[in-house]
Amino acid sequence: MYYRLQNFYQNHRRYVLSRSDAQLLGQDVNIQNSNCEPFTTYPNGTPVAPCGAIANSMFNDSIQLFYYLNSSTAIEVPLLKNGNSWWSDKNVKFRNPTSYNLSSAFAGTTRPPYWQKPAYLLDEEDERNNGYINDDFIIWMRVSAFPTFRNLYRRLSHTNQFADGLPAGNYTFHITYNFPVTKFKGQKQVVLSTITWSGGSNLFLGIAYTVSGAVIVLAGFIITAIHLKLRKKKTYFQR
Amino acid sequence: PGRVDGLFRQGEEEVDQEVPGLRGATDRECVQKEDGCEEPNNRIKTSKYNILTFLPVNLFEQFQRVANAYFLFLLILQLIPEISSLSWFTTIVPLMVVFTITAVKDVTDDCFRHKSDNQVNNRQAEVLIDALRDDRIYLTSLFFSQADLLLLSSSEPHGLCYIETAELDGETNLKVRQALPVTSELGADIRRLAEFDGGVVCEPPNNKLDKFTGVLFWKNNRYSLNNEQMLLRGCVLRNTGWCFGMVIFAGPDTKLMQNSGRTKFKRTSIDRLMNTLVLWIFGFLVCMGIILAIGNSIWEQQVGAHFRIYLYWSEVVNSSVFSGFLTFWSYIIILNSVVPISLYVSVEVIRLGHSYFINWDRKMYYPKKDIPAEVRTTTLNEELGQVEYIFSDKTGTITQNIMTFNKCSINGKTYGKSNNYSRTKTVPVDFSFNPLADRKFQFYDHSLIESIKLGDSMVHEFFRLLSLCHTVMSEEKNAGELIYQVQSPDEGALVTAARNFGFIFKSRTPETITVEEMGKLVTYQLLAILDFNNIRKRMSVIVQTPDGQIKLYCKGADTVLFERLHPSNEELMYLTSDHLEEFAGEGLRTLALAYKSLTEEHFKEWFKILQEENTSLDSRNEHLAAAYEEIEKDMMLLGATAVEDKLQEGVTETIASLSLANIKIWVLTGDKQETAMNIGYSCHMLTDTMNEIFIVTGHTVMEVCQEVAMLVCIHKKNKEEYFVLQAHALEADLENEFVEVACMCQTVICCRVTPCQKAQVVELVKKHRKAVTLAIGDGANDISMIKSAHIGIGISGEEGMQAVLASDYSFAQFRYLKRLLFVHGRWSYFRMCKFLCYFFYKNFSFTLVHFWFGFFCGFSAQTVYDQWFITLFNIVYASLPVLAMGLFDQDVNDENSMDYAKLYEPGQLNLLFNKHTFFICIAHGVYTSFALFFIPYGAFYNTAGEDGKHIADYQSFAVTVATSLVIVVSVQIALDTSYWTAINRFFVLGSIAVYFAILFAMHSDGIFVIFPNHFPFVGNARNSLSQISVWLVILLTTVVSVMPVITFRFLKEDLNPTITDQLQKSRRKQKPLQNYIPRVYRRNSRRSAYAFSHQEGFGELITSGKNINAVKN
Repeated sequence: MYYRLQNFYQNHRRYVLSRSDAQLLGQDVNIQNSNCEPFTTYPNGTPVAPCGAIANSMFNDSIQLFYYLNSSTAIEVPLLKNGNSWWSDKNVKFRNPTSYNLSSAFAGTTRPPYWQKPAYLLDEEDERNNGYINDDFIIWMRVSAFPTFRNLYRRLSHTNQFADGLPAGNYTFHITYNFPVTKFKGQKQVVLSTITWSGGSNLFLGIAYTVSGAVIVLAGFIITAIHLKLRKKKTYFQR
Repeated sequence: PGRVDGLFRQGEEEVDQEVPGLRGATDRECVQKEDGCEEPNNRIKTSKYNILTFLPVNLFEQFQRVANAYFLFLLILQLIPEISSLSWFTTIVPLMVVFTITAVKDVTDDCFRHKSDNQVNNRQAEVLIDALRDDRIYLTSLFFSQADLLLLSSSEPHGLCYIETAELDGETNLKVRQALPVTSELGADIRRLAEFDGGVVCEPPNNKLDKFTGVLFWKNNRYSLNNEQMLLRGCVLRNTGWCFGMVIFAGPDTKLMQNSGRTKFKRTSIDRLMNTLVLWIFGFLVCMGIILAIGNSIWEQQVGAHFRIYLYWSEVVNSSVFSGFLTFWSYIIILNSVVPISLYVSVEVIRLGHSYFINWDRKMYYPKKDIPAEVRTTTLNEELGQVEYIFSDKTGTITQNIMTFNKCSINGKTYGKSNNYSRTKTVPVDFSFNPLADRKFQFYDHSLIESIKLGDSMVHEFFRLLSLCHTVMSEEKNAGELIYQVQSPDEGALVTAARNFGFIFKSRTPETITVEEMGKLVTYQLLAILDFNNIRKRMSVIVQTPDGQIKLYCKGADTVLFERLHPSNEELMYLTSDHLEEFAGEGLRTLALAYKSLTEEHFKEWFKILQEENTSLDSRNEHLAAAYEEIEKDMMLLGATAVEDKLQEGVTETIASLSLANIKIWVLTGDKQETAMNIGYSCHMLTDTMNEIFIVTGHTVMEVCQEVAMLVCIHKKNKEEYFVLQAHALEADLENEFVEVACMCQTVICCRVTPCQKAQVVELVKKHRKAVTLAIGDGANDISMIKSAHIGIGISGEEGMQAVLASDYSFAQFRYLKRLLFVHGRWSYFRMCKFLCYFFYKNFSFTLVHFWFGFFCGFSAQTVYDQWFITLFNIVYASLPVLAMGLFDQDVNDENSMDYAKLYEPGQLNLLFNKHTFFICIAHGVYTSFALFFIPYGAFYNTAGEDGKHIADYQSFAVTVATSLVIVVSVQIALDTSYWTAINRFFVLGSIAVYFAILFAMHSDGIFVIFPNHFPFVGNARNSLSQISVWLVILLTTVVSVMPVITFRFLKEDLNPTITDQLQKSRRKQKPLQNYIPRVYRRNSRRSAYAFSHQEGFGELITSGKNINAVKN
C-alpha cells in the first residue's frame, strides 16, 4: 500500500537541505548550524527533534484497510509497518540517541510544530520502529525526486486468507485525516499495487525501449541502403 | 687567444657644438649607456619569481586572469547562504587543482628562464663585462660587432676593413669600410688611441641600414662621416686582422635593434575564437539564469505561495520577484560549469604536451650539429596546422650560403655532372696531383681534367681567365696553404675551381698577377681592371702575358656578353646558350666568359682615352662606362660557368609539398633581384610554366603606382604567376593594390628589403588577409619578421642566435618545416579542435540537466547530482580521457600526413573548429542532457523499485543520472577517439572504474558516520545500482544519446566524405600511393640565370693598391 502525493515539492532546494543528518544519526549536535531553519528551535530555545522542514511536514495520515468478508463483517487487513525502508537507512543512516530509554533520549527536545506527538511516541508498540528509526519517518525523510511521488506505507502480511494477496471483494479504507493537501493545491491518494521484476507499474521504459529500438532498426536499414548504393560509386582518395 | 688584436677606447670629452637638426650623440652618452652604473652591470633578467616571492606573485597573477577572477566571484556568491545552491567546495576544489597545475607550470617555466638567464649572463660576461672594465673590445676577424662603431683604424692599409653583412641585410658579398685618413693614421698605437678625444655629432638612432650622416670633431677640425665609416652591430669582420672603433650607438639604439621590431604577445586564432565562444556561453548562461529566475518568480506566486506552510521563507525574502532575483544567482552558480574552470588549464596542458612531442621528435633532430627542434613558445602549436603564408628569408634559410663550381661549358662542350639527382654514386675527381688544391672542392666529371692534361688550349684559356679575371686577394700563410679573401662567394667558387684544375692564383700587386699555371709560375702585368657594376653586369681585366701579348678577359651575364661577341662566334654562341639554358633550368648561377687579344697600339690608344675620362669631373662614371664599352667588343667566346648556390638539404621537396598544400611562399631577402630570382628557380618556386612574371622595379612612387595598376589589370586573366618586386615598391603608398596583386600570385619574391620592410610585408598580409602567417629565418635581419608573423621560426645552428631567441620554434634545417607543419601542426590543430568540441559537448550535457530539472523542482536551483559529483566530474571523472585524446589522437599517421599535402587544407580553411561546429557540439550536448534527464524522469515518474521500496527518491535519481552521464561521455569519447593508445584505454576505463570506486566509497557507511552532514548519500549506490530498472534506464539513455551521433557520422562518411575519410578508405583497399613530388627539369622559355653577388669598387681598390698588403709585408 502506497500513499501518493501530487504537487508536493519535496525536491525544492530549501526543502531538501532542511534536515540534520547528524541529528538523525543520534549524535548530540548543535542543530543551529544546520540548514533546519526555521524549524530549529522554539522561541523558548528548546531544540526541535527531528529538526527541519522535511521532518516537520511528515505525512501523518494513518490508513487502515478493511476487507468485507461479507456485507456486514469487515476484518482489518494485516499490514506490515516494518521492513519498508532500505536496510542501509534503517541501520546506518538513522539511529536514535542513546539513553536508557527512548523518552529520556529525547529529553530536552521537543516535537516539530506540525507533529501531534513527539518522535519517541511514533510507534509505541515496537521499540525497533520508534523514534528516528520509525519506518514511516525514514521513508518520508528520503525525499522524492519529483513533486508527484508515491511512498511505501504498508506491506500486506501474507497470512490467513491474504496468503495469496488480497482476495477479490469489497474493501474500505479508514483514514485518519491529519495531512492537509488542499492548501497547496495538492492531492493525496492511496495506491494498492503489486510489484513486478522491474519494479512498479510504469510503462514508460517498455514504450521507450520499443520506440527507440524501432527507430534504430529503421535507421540501420536506411544507412545500410545508402551505404550499399554509394559503394558502387568509388570515392577513393584522389590527390 | 691571448693576442690582443685591437683595443677600443671610448672618448672622454664632451662636444659642445651641435649641428642643427642632428642629435648630439657623443661618445659620453654611449659610455653612460654601457656602463652608466657604478660597476658594469649588463645582466639580463627575464625570470619572474624567486622562492620567497613565488606564492604571492603567482597568486596575484593568476587572479588577474579574467577566468580565475570570475571563479573567485562565484566562490564569494556561494558563501551567501540565501544564494548558495552548491557548497563552497564544489568551486574551491577545482579552483585549487587549476591553480596548482598552473603554478607548477609557472615554476617549471621560470626554472627554464633562470637557467637561460644564467647562461646568457655568463656568456656575456666573457665578452662584454671584460670589455667594459678594461675599456677594450677585441674585434678580430669573424667577430660579431656588438655595437654600431665608427671605424677608426684597422690592420689593413689605408684603414680598410672588410665586413660581411649577411646578418643585417642578407647580402652575401663582402663590403668595404674605410676609416677616415686622419684616424687610420692612429694605427695600432694604443697610446695615441687612448688619447683620441674626438666627438661625434650624428643623426638620431634610426633603422636605415644604408645611411648614416654625422660629423667628427677632432683637433678643431670637422670631418664629415657617412656609412663608409660605420661598422654596424651584427656585421662580421672578414679578411681583416683587427680594427678599432668608437661606439656611436649601443644597445637598443643600434640600427640592428632599431630594425628588430617590438615583441608582441602572440595568440592563436583558436584562442581568440575560444574567448569569443566563452563570452557567448556566458551570455547563454545569463539567459538561462533569467529564464529560470522568471520561472521561479511565477512558481513562487502560483505554487510556492501555497506551499509556504511546509517551506517557510524568512521575512526578508517574501516577494516572488526578490526570490527570482536570488534564484538567478543560484542558477548562475549551478550552471557555471558550462564555462568550466578546467578549460584553460586543459588547453595549456595539451599545448605543453604537443610542444614536448615536437622537442622529442627524432625526425626533426639534426645529428650533424646535435640540434633538436625546440619549441620556445608553447601556446601556438595548433596554429601550425593553419598556416597559409610562409615568409622565408633566403640566405642561410633556403640556401646554405655556399657556392660551388658545378658545371661549365667550354668551347661548346659541357663538363660536370650534377650529383644531386642521379642515384648512382659518382666518384669525385681526384685532385691529389695538385698540392695546392682545396680539399673541399668536388667535381664529378673526369673528362675535364683529362682535357686539361691533354693541353686543350681553349680549356686552358678558360681556367686562365678564371684565375685572372677577379678581385680576389690571396694570402699564403704557410707553404701550400693558400687562403683566398673573396669579395663574393661566387668569385671564390670560380677561383677555387681554377685553383683545383691547376691554374692557381698565387698573389697580386697593383700591377701584376702571379698565377701558377700547371705547375709553373707565370706573372702577368695587370694593365687595367674594368670593374663590375650592376648596369654593366660584367667585369674585365686587361693583362699582358710575359711574352708581351695583351689580352682582355671578360666575364659577365650571358645576355650582356653575347651582344659584344665577334660575329664569327655565332655558332658557338648558340651552342653555349643552349648549355646556359640547361644550367639555368637546374637553377645554377651562370656567367659567360670571353676573351680578346689586343694589339699594343690599340690598347695604348684606348688607355689614353680611359685616363682622360678618369680625370673628367662631371659624370665620370658614364664616361668610364663608355670607354669600357669601347674595348669590350668583338670578343671571342670561351664558354660559361655554372655555380650552384647550394640549397639547404631537401628545400626543393619541402617547397614543392608546401605549395601542394596551398601554402603560399614568399621569399623576402635583402639580396639582389638576380640572386633572389635565381634561387626561386633553383628551388622550383618559380618555374617556366608560370606564364606571367611580374617584376616591379620602379624606383619612384609614380613608377611603382603605374606598374602595380597595370598588374591589377593584367592579373585578372591569369592564374599561375609569380611576382618579383624590389623594396621601392614597398615604400609606395599602395597597400591595397600590393596585397591584392601579391596574394593572387603563387609566389612572391621581394628583394632588397630591409629588416623593417620584411616585417611590414608580414603585417600587410596579416592586416588584409585573415590568414595565418609564418616567418622563417636565421639571421638578425629576420627578427622583425619573425616577431610580427603569427608564428616565427628560427633556424638554429648558425652563427648568431638572435633569430632563434626571437622565434617561437627553432630547428636546424629548413626541411623540418614540412614535418612541423604537416605532422605536428596538423595533429595539434586536429587534436585541439576535437578536444574543444568534446569539452563543450561534455559540459553542456553535464550542466543542462539542472536546467531541465528546474522545471520540476519549482525553479529552486536544486542540483540534480550530488555535490561531490559536481566537484569531481570535471577534474576527475571526465578530464583525463579527453586530455588523452587531446594529446595523442591522430586521424592519419605521420607518414601519410607528410605524403598527402591535401590533408593540410582543413586547417587553413578552419573547418574543424569554428562557430558552426561549435553550435553542433552545443546542440549535441543539449540533446544529451535532454535524454539524460527525461529518460530517468519518465522511468521513475510515480513508481517504486522492484522490491516496492524507494527508487524515485531524489538521491537515487541523482545517482542514476550521474552514472548515465559518466557512461555516456565515456562512450562518446570512445567514439571520438580515432587513435587508441594504451593511455587512452587506461584513462577511459580507469575513469569509469574510478567513478564507481569513488561512488561506493562516498556512499559507504564509514564515511557517513564520520561526516554525516557531508555524505548523506549513504547506501544509495548499493540500493540503486542493484535495481534492474536503473540499469535499463542507464542503457537506454546511453543508446539514445549516442545513436544519432553514430548515424550522423556514418551518413556523413557515405554522403560527404572528408579527405581524411577518403584517404582512410583508400588505404584500406589499396596499397599506399607512392610519394610523388613534381620536379621540373624542362623549360620552354629562354631565361638567363645570371646572378652574381658582387659589388662595385674592388677593382679600383686593387689598381690603386690600397688593399695590397701581402706584398708590402
